[in-house]
Amino acid sequence: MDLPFPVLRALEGAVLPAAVSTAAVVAAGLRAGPAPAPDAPAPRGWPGALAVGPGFLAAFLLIKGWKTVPGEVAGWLGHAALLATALGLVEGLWPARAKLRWALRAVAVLLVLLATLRPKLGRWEPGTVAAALLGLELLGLLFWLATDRLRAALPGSGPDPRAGGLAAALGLAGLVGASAGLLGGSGSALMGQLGGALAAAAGPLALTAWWRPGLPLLRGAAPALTLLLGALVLNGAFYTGAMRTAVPLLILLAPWGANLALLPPLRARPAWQRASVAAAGLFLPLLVAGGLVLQATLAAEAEDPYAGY
Amino acid sequence: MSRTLASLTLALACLTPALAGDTYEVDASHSHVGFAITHLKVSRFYGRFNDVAGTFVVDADPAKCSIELTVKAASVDTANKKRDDHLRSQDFFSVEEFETISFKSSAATKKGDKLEVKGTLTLHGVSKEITVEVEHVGTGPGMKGEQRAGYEARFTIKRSDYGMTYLLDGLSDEVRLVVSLEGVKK
Repeated sequence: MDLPFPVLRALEGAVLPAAVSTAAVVAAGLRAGPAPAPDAPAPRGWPGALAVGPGFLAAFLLIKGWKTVPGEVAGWLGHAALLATALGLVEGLWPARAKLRWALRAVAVLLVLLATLRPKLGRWEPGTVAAALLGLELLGLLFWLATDRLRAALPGSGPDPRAGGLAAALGLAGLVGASAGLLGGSGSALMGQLGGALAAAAGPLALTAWWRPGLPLLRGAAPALTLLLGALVLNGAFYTGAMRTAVPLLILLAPWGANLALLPPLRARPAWQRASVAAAGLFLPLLVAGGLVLQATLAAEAEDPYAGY
Repeated sequence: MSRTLASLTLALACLTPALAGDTYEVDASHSHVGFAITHLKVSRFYGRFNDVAGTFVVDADPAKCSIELTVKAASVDTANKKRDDHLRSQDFFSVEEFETISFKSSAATKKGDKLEVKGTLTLHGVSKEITVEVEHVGTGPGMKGEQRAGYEARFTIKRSDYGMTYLLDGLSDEVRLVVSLEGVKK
């Protein structure tokens, strides 16, 4: 069937990943039941990884297809989806093993950096390569720490307060959705569309956080979201010439804003007040980034040498 | 596009019997590498690359004709800055990743009054052998007495063959190329 162009884009960018993600989280929710028995083992968060990673991968395969050894940097995002899924499964299954978690995160960030910067690394001086890899590795891990703390700032009502709740799920999905808009608005429809696919895969997590508040799905989903969003932002930063440097930095900074909710004066406040402060802190940097993207768009139109002809 | 240009140049050289093993340097200011692509299946849209460099060898024996051409992908120009930036992104040329488009000829044969040039076109990091027909436009003296020669090739490629598969329903897979080169004899 020859579907209209916008319908196909919607299917690739949103409907398919949302469907894959919904299937995974609904299956997890049904398996867990509405209220687990007190003596039942604590539910684990690994199904969250199966919502985000495969959801994103399904859209990626439709949009870009699969090549085992891609010739272009964007082609490695499919491999990043597999890596993100594996990482999310490990973190969902063994949430208490912090050293293992951070060691695997460091390796995953390095792999994404090497795959994304491969064309650049051969052109840069050795000192630049070392500085770039070290600096970006630290930036990636700080972003990861920020999304961890975002979950901690917005705990759920389940037995695991660090697993994040409905507000954290909405916050993460909002972060990814806003980032997708910023990537697309900065000049790469591909990165914007893939960001939209990631946001669509994250959306059902919020639904499940409301439906089954005891399920710590963000344990497995958040690592996958963090790695894939980081990879998309890295692509945008280095391969979308029109993107202002401040935009990816503001995206990576944004989750730290949610940490305002962890400040001592706010810790004892009602949950909705903490959630409001966290949301404001999260989205303010993204709003600033949106302003920069808009400004750059208007400037590009004003600089058009043929404008008015 | 580069391949077409190369083929055109080679063919022109071979079609000029008075020349024997002459090497020409591409004069970018009098050369043109342009493309046309169908937009939304309703119209044909044109653009060009402004940074073109290379050399070609013209000889009466087609087997001795050759061309090497390099185009900077970032020099794409469609008379709209925002669109040019989009074309430079990963959606299309990904110029930060694939800085150049190039063509290097491997063989040439006469075909009527034109030359048929084979060579390797490298675009978006993918190299493929193509064959193009090259027309000799003319050969003669320049303003300072230097020898000049001009060639043109028109051909069509599929961008998906080169891994440029994004938005194929918005912008056609088939891309028409026009490579028109003027060279100055070294």
